[in-house]
Amino acid sequence: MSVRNRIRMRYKKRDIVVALSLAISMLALAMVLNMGGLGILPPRTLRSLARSIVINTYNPWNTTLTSYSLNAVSAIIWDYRGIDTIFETSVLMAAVTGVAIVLRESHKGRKPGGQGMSIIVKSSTKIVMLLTIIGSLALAVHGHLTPGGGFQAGSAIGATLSLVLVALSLQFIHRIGIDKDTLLKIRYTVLAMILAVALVPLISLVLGYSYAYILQNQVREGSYFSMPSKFFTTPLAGTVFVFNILETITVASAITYIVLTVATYEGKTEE
Amino acid sequence: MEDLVSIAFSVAITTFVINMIVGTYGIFVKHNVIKKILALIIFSDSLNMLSIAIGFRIAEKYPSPPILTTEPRDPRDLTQFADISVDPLPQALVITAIVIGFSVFAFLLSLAVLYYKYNGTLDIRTSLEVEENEEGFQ
Repeated sequence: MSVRNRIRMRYKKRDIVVALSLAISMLALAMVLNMGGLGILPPRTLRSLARSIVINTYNPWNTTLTSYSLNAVSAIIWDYRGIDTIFETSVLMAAVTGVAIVLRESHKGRKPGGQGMSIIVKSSTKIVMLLTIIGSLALAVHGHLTPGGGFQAGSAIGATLSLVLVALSLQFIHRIGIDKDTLLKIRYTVLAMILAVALVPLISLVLGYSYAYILQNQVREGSYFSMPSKFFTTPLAGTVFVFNILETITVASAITYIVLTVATYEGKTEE
Repeated sequence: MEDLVSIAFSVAITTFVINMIVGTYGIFVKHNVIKKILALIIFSDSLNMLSIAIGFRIAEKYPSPPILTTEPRDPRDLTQFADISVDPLPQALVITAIVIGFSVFAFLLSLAVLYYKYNGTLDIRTSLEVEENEEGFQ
């Protein structure tokens, strides 16, 4: 029996084992679902943790637990589970650094890319780019009032810039002032700003005004420090608003950086 | 009507689980690195959909997204809102998971580019068995 046949036989045997184990896990999951391991789905009542979050997200009658954000998801992301999200942003930055290290052999001297697509595609892409960026800025600014927030707005801006890279050209992106080094600088600066905003409440502790917690947004038990909760009559939700805008810049620059790195990569196989 | 919603819900959840199993199968069986990563993406997206589905609920008339549309004037407004709102916690966790998944897949794909650069192919068998039994292949 030749080597090729032996390898083929081994893969066939492994396929059977994989199929059998997947079938068994499917049956086990079906049994768990059938016996109600996840509870009766969909439930008629809200879980108690979710109920307390939903009631306290904008609750002027319970000032030590509220975050004055009408959007409960934004309140969870940036207030109730804030440290989680800050570390998640750090993971995003670590991934960007990893991509930058792995694909570091980029075009240096000669100008890559063509002249872009036809004039019709170029003009319509410019219009779409303007509308999408305005829409994503609205998403970011209203992140505590309406559905949306920092991640969504940043992803939309990043997707728009990759569309521009395809339809127009790399030179156009360089001409409007977007560069890999600039993006990396923006990214580090904004991450440092997020950490700084998280540490702002400690100022009141240093000045002896009251106790304070890291990432504190509104008044908490035993602490009188509070970020602004209203902008004239519009709810502002304190740090949620600030973090949404900073996160938009972070995610947009990260996605654009990854796309630009892959686009300018000199992908030759080694002889 | 409610039975119909329940049956449709079970079908949806079973579909997500089957999708996850298809993703696991792809991760184990496919030889192409890019196809393995695609299977991993299918797996993680089905898991996200499953989490969102677990946060769903049945409410009187219709369930509402966990967003207040107006500023509450009275504590009773908040209780009414909690009676129709869906669970906001899975949604918040899923958006975190999506961004982490994006960064992980970007890194994995860049590693795949590096793999192609050094091996000239995306097949993982080239670096495992074929080098051991080189005389069997022409």
